[in-house]
Amino acid sequence: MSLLEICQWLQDTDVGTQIRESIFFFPIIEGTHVLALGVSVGAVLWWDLRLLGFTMRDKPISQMQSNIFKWMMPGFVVMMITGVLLFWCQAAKAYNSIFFRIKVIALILAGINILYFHLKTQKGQSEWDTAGIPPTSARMAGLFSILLWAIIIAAGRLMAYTF
Amino acid sequence: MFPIHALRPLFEWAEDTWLGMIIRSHQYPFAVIEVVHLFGLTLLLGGVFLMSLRLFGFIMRDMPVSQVAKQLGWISFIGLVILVTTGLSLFASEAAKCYANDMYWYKMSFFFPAVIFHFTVYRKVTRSANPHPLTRGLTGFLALFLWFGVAVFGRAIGYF
Repeated sequence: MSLLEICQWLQDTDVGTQIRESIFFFPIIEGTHVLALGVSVGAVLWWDLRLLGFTMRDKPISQMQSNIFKWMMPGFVVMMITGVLLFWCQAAKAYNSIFFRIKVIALILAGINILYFHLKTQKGQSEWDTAGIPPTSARMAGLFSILLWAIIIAAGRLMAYTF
Repeated sequence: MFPIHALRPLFEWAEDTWLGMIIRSHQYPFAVIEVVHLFGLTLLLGGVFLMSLRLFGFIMRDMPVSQVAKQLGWISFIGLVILVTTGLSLFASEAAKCYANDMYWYKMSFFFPAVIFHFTVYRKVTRSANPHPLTRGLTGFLALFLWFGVAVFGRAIGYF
C-alpha cells in the first residue's frame, strides 16, 4: 500500500470520520492544539533564549531546565496528542499538502536538534552550566529550536488554507 | 447585547480603510498576517504562562518576582505589540464579519480588560520584589484567565 493509501484508510476509519464530521470534537481538538502553543513553544522559547545567552545569564542552565521542563512537557504532550488526532481525521488531505510536509520535516529536524543537544552537547555541561553565554553548540541548539518552531507554526497555520 | 449598534460606524469605517482593502485584495496578505499573529500569541501566552508559574511560586523561587519579570517580561510585551498590530490589520480586512460574529465581541470583552489589567495591576505586582502570596496568586490566575479567554474566543471566531 502506498503512503497515500494508508493515509486515506486512516482518514476513513470510524474514529477519523467521527472527529472530522463532529461539530464539537474537531473545534475543541484544534482549538486546544493552537492554545497549547503558549504552554509548549512559548515556554521553550525562554529556555532557548537562555541557551543563546540572551537572558537570565546568572541562572545556571541546569536550574533553568529543571524549572521549565516539567511544566513545558505536558504542553508538548497535549500538542502531540491533539496533533495526532488532527492528522488522523484528515490524513490524506494533510499528506497532499506541501505545508504539512514542510511541517513534518521541520518537526523531525527539531527532534534531531533536541536529541543532539541532550545526547551530545549536554555531555560537557558541567563546564559551562553557569556560563552567562554557553558554548557555540548550545547556542546553535537554541537558535535552531527558535527557527524550526517558527517554521512549524507557520506551516501549521498555512496548511489549513490548502484544505 | 452584541453587536453594539452604536459602534457600527467604527466597523464600517475600518472596513473601508486602505489597509483593509489592500489585505482583502489578494490571497496572501491575510494568511501571512495571521501567521505572524500566531507568533505573537506564542510569545504572549508563553510569557504569561511562565510568569504566572513564578507568581504561583512554582518555578524560579530563588529569583525575586521583579527580577524574573525584568529578564523575561519583554517577551510578552513584544508578543502583545505583534498581536495588536496584526490584529488591527486582520480586523480592518474583515470588520463587517467581525461585527456580525458574537465570538469577536466575546474576544474583545476579554481583550480590553486583559490589556488594562496587564498595564496596571499585573505591572505593579510583577515589579515588586516580594508580593504577598494572595496577591501573587490572584494576579497569576487573572492573567491566565483573561489572556487564554482572549485566545479561546479568538480561535472560536473562525468557527462561527
